[in-house]
Amino acid sequence: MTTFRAASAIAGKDLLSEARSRERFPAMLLFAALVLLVMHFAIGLDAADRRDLAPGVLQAAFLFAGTLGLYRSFAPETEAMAIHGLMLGPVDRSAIYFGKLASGTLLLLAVQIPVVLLYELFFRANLLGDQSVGPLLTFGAILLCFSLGFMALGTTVAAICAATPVREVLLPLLLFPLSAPLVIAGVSGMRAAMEGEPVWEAVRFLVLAAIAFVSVSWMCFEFALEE
Amino acid sequence: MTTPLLEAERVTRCYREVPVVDEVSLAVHAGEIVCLLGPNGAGKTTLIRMAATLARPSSGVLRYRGVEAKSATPGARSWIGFASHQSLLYPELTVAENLRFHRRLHGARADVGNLLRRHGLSAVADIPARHLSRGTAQRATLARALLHEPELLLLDEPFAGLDGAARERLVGMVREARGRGAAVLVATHDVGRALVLADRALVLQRGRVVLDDPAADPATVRRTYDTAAAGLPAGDVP
Repeated sequence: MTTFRAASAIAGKDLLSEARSRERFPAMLLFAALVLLVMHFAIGLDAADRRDLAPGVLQAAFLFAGTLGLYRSFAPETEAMAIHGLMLGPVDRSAIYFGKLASGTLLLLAVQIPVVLLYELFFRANLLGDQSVGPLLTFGAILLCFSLGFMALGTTVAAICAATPVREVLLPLLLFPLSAPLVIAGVSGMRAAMEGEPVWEAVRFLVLAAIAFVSVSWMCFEFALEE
Repeated sequence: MTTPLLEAERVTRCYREVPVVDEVSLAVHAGEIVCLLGPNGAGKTTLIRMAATLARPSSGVLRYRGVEAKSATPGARSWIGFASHQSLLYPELTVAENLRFHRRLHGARADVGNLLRRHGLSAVADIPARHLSRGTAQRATLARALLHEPELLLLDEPFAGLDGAARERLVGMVREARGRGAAVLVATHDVGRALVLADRALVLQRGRVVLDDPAADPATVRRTYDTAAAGLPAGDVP
């Protein structure tokens, strides 16, 4: 079996498991919605303020929701040590990493879409103005790159933390500082997309960061699993 | 003499500089059941985990069919089957889904329906693993470990939590695996059950082999185990 097919089998298993247990998605969505609610009172009623602060508020919501998802991403593997079953598969163990990365990214994207719609609907921030479909696609590309980079990093950090008794504390302590460049680039990219300005620089940074995080995490993952 | 399916040569595993498995050497041949006995903390689980490629030795060499573990391709794992007292099943997936997932991962052709029937799991095929009793979960675990017909079967405390009937069934399955030419390594502290099964017995104490009895003589094995369990040096009788 190829690494790609094994990774897709693992991602499919993760998503089926999530569909049954509903442990992560509702919690991630609810938490992101709560961040928006809190920010609503903090920002006030000025429409211009809401639009200006949208990238920061949305990135904070995605960061918290993504971290919440990562807390439980290895729970099905460690509950009955099913991770050993995966590690015994006759495929490269990077398949486990890529499978987890794919399911985590899909889950975060599935949270981001309703959260952006919620922001637009309830805050009337007019995120993408009256512009054409182009900025919408750019906005989507920025979300995709951020999610991929964040989950690339988060999957390995979550694997390291899963084996420790202080995983709830350790995960954000390791993950937040390391993901700061992604959050900053995500905020500036989203702001540029909303203003109709060139986003090439932010997208390029996000893509490079995602590639770097995937490469480093991929190399460290097997060690994290075994230790 | 044929090449052993599994060979350990002076294998050591340390945690924080303390050796948990200390220079252990052993060989398991096709069609042979080797039992690893020892009290809690003797290093049985660590040794089995290293043999299953789940942990790396700190020093020493592990060979599979004469090929060093670090040179072996991931494909070599296709002939290793591993089961422990933990089920290794996904709690939210049904028994059939768990088996289908592992069949796909191993690229095996086993008919899941047949597998379920053979292990007496047809009635619970659509029940999530979370709701299985201990004995049924252990049957499902063995079905998962055996679905790709491994040539090397590694069992870590397989009798833990099983009732008498389930234990007898497990003994039958292990013998069946040996019958088709598989090499079996069983780590347990159930001396009585091990002596029923073993072609060869090793007793571990504090990570070291204190007895390697090719005949698995019950009196010798039991005496050495009792000595190890009492924490006395090998050779002393408690």
